[in-house]
Amino acid sequence: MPLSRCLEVRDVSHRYRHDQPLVLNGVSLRIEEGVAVALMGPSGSGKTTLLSILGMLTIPTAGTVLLDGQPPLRARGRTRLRAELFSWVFQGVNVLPRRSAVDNAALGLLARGMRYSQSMGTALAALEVVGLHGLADRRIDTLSGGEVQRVCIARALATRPRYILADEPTGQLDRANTAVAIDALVGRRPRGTAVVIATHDPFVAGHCDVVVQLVDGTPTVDSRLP
Amino acid sequence: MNWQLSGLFREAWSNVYANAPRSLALVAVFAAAIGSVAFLELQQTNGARSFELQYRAAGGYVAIVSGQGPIISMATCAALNGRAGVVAAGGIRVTGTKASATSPGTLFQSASVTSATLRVWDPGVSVDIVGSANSFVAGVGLAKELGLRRGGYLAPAGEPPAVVAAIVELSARNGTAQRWLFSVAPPVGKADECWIEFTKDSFEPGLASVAAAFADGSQDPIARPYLRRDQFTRNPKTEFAERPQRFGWLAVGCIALAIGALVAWFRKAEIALYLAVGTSRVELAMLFYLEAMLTMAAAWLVGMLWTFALERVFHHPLPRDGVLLALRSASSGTLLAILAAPLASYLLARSNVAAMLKDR
Repeated sequence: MPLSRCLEVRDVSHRYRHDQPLVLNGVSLRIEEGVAVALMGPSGSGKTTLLSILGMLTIPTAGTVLLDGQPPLRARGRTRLRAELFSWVFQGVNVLPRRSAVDNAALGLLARGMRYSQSMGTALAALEVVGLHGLADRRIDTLSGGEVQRVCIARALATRPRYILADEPTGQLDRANTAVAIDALVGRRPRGTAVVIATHDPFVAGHCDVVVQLVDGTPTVDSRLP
Repeated sequence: MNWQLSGLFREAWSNVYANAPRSLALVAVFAAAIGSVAFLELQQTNGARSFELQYRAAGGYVAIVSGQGPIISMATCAALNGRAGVVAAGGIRVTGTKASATSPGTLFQSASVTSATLRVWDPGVSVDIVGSANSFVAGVGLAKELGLRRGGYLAPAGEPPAVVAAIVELSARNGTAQRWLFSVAPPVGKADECWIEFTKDSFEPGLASVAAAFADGSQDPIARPYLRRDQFTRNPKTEFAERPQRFGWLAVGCIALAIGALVAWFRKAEIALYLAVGTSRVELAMLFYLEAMLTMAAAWLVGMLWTFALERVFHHPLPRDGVLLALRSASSGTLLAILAAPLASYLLARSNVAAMLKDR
């Protein structure tokens, strides 16, 4: 029987230092193709850590990460997979501040080996999806916080990844900008792209298919919304 | 390798261009460092060249062959003029003390020399001074004392008057002969001394071997340098070998390492972003090296132009060997800086990506 395309963590625990408590404690989670998942929980509950592990930026202290049912990959393979499968929208704004919006939106495409001219076209299309086509040539440090976050979302959408991992993508936005950003991230994501959003905001969680509650590193609720 | 090479190059250029204040500051710092190394090397070369000229002018490559009495063959001495590495060679035979008929109380030394002897003593003298029985050459000191001028006449006591064919300045290489009167004669008979000026490279071997040319089996003449070895305390070769700026290229590399670490610290989030979007560490290193190449190439160009312009402003020449030395040292420093500047960023890229992403 063919395995379904999914990203899975099994019994994952993680601590950052030996003398520190576990940030995650025996978490198991399966992200199916095309699903929108909200990771909710208070600060320090392990949302960002779980995202890092899902996105292969962090190797868990214990447990396994499975991609399409396959066991963990070695470092070199992880870098390649990160480029091919994942896109990130980070907490706050992680951008190249003095570069243009379109340069930032094209970054993931270039890292996947796309030619420059082609990547610019694709990045422009992604900026159009998030409503920033007119600001493509503006430097990032001249844009508002909401606009910058939408550029980050455009960067994530442009690569048409299998997984978009978003860490508090609306944490610094007002309600209006949050609505625009979530619409772009969840509502306009490419078909088949799963999105995992770490958030405090029930409004954001309300746009997702699945909500996972994390408390002290343990998933306590895994509910599918109607 | 995910990135296309052209994409990496464009990304490097975009980063350098977009961060113009940082890039210009880096270019300025490294242009100053690279230019300083080049400037010091040029100064060293010009200093050594100036000393070399001074040393040569003072007779640093002049040797004297002499024996017990007038045993030196004038002909043998004159024949050295044809040898490779010999600038000029001529003999001198002291002919005694004389006085002027018009100033009998003023005694002066007289000697018979060849025209090449005068050339050894005064490089500005034309070697075609042709002596005759009716002419003299006077040292500047004697000419002043007796009021002689070129073309005038001098009558030594008991001799017919003769034309003063030339007045020579001998203070640099034979100061004691400033008050002498010379008869320029063909190279025949015996001389007290043979003075030989060698080229720089031929001086040491010439000094060691020239005396043998005058040996006739009865008495062995000896050759000695005109300048005592300790008369000039500077040694350009030692100075060159021990010049502090020979480590200048290393200093430029160390500066690059330190500034690179500082820049890397401020670019942590940027480094993490590149890694997070799937850039490998090797690709990231290539990106940093391309950025460093662009910046350092500009710094090298500015630094060298600045150095050469400064040298010209101070009216110093730009000798080929000095320019080559400056280029070599500055380019070595530049290459090391290209290697060293991105090192910290590369090492930083080995840290935890997630932690760096949080560190904004």
